Amino acid sequence: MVDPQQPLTAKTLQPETLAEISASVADEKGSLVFNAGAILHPFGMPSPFRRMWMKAMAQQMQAEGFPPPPEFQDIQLSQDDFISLLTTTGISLDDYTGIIEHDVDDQVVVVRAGTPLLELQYELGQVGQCLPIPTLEPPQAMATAAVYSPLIDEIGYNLPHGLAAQCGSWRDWIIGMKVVQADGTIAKCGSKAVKNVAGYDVQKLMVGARGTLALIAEVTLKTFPIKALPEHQVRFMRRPGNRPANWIQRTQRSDFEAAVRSNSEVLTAFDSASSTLWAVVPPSQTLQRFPGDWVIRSGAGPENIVFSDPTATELMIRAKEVFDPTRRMNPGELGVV
Amino acid sequence: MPLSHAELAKKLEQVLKPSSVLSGAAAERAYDCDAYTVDRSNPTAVVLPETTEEVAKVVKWCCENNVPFTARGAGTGLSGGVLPALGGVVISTKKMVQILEIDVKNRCLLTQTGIANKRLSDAVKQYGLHFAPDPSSQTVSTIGGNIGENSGGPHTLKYGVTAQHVLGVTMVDPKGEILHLGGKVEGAPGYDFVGLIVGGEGTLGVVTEAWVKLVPIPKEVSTALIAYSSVNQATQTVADIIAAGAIPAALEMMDQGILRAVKLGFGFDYPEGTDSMLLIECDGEPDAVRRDMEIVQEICRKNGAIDIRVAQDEAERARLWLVRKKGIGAMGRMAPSIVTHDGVIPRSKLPEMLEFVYEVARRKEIGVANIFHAGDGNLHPCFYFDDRDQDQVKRVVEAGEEIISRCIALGGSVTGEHGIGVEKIDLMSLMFSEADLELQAKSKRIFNDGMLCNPCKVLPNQKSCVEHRARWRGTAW
Repeated sequence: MVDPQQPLTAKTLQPETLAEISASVADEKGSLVFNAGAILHPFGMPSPFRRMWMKAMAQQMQAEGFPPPPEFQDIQLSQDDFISLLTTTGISLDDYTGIIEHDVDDQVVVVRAGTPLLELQYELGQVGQCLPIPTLEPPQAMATAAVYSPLIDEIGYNLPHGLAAQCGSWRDWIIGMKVVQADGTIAKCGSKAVKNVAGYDVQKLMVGARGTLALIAEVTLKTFPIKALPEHQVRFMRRPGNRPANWIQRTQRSDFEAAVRSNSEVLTAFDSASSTLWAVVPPSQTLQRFPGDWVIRSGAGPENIVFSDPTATELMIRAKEVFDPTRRMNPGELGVV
Repeated sequence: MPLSHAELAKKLEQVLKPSSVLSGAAAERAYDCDAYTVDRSNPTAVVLPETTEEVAKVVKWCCENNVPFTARGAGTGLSGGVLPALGGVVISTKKMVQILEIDVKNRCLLTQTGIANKRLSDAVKQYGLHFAPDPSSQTVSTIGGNIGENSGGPHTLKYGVTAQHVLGVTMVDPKGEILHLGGKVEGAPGYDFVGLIVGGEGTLGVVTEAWVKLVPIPKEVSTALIAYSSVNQATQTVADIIAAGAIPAALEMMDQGILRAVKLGFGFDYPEGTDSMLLIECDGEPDAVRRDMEIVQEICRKNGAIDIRVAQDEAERARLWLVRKKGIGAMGRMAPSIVTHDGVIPRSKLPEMLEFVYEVARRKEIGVANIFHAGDGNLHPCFYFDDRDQDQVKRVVEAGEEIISRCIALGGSVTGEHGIGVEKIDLMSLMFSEADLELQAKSKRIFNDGMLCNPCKVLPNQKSCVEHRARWRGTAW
């Protein structure tokens, strides 16, 4: 029997090489939760693992004399949760960072997935290149405080950004990837060629998958010349309290004006080019929805992501069975999988 | 006891109306390969459904009767992607050519997938929109084929490949179920199945309808054709333009072999001493286009261009494009057959790679000309030969494999836009390890865990396929 009062120790591994990541995945039994960043990502799902981790982190912070943030407090865990915690291992890529190869002339960079986006942007900026994700002020208005996240989170969560309509998103820039699969096997997909149709585009499946299919260890990215960056069209709304956006909604272009107008009081930012809006919405409330739109939330529990299309849901479950038959990779992080 | 071809066709006539079923020697011959003619395999029958529901009926019938099936568009593919590898039913989308909905406000349209690529742009030109992916075969090749192969085209450099322009699909899965995936609003949370299906070479199901993105026709377009006295000067120009941060809409290169063919076939003239030409197009807002074209011309001059022709009007622009668009067709005058290869390399390796292509052609004693998407590093060496001579065919195949192997060694890919099909299936293991291929196999198994839906494509060493390969090759002679 587990004592609920005992200090929670979240077992976390910090491998430094690809081989160590592979060994960590292969050797550990039970569930795996990737990267401290992933666990704390504001748009993550309230899976038992996440809640356990938050409680453990809160205990650690308290023990070290730091007050934990409000959302880490008063987390109730069941006996089953405690048992699960004992069989869960965190794998942090915080020590697996840095550029592996940057071919400046070809505008292609190979980078370890623990690298914070901001750090990568800085390195690319030294030679006049970037990824076209603008760091706009105030970043929390667009929930892009996450630009401080490592690439594994940025790619895994695939949140909208301010130049999505003009320059695309991760699925367009990632031309290759190395992943560690549920059994620890390392596999690559894509190449360093900017155009490539050799085989199935597995890397596209990994973008936005929140680590539920495999652990993204390295990515090969097309870079963008800074001087060719187009102007963004994001508009910010001044809000008292400076609270970060917790509601992201994208609609059809034809509905966007109505969406902005009807929600103007809670908007923090909106981008007409991609028909995306960001807002602060209490967890118990929702904004007006429109045909074909989608929403990602933060702090709304199981409502953070809702999949209503039975076909897509069935296929997601099927994909999870194929890639991660024992359901150990970031379980619950995408709701149905 | 397997059904005879005639018996199978009769059965299919009970599934679709008789006029939608083709069989017999002529049909078998017409549908035994695509534009990659080296390998051929006869279908048992060909069906011409008109709707998604009819496709689903055929696929269900095939599943119930354990008959392989392969979807086919216009047959312009260049890697044998629609070869009916194990025989069975070819599902032609020839009658699925309707545009079902044009949504101007949301800049997208819903179409059946048998429609030719260019017809989409023609249909929405009146609204100031177009469908950006423009493979050279766009007047003929179908949207379904473009989706299957994730086709590119000259304007890929700026606008991206087909995957970036497909919002959603209706697909008949390998069991005959109709799936609707994606929709008008892109970027939705969850797994990107549409991104996987595009480029799946028809092995994940039969895509019957697609929502595709439309983009505004650029306000200004400026096109230049630049002549060089050496290939190296042209390739260096490409590298310099990319490094300068300019993003032309198109950046295409033609070597002397192509120029000679276009001169012979279409009377296209070029300055004396020309060894290669670049076709460069900038588009967008007028001021930006003027600025980009000035930068481009300056780089061209710096690299020793001997002639720069900038189109002054639409008619002249069309004339300049002629050398690029008619290049492959003009090759038809050089020999009875051509095989167009499709390798990709990092752009900075272009000079080295082209040298290698010429060296291989000399050694194998085969004619070669190069026409390609230089901005993407996407080579298209065209070998011209006589396919009635089996020794020439063998040398062409060997030359292709050498070139593609070098592409991989330089950090590139075995294919940039033509796909793996059957042509390059053995080359996959040069580029990918067993673990890599198993990762791809997993993504295929999400949709297709059997051997009926377009078998023997993309992934090597599929059961039942190896023993059939010898039969495909040489059937033409």
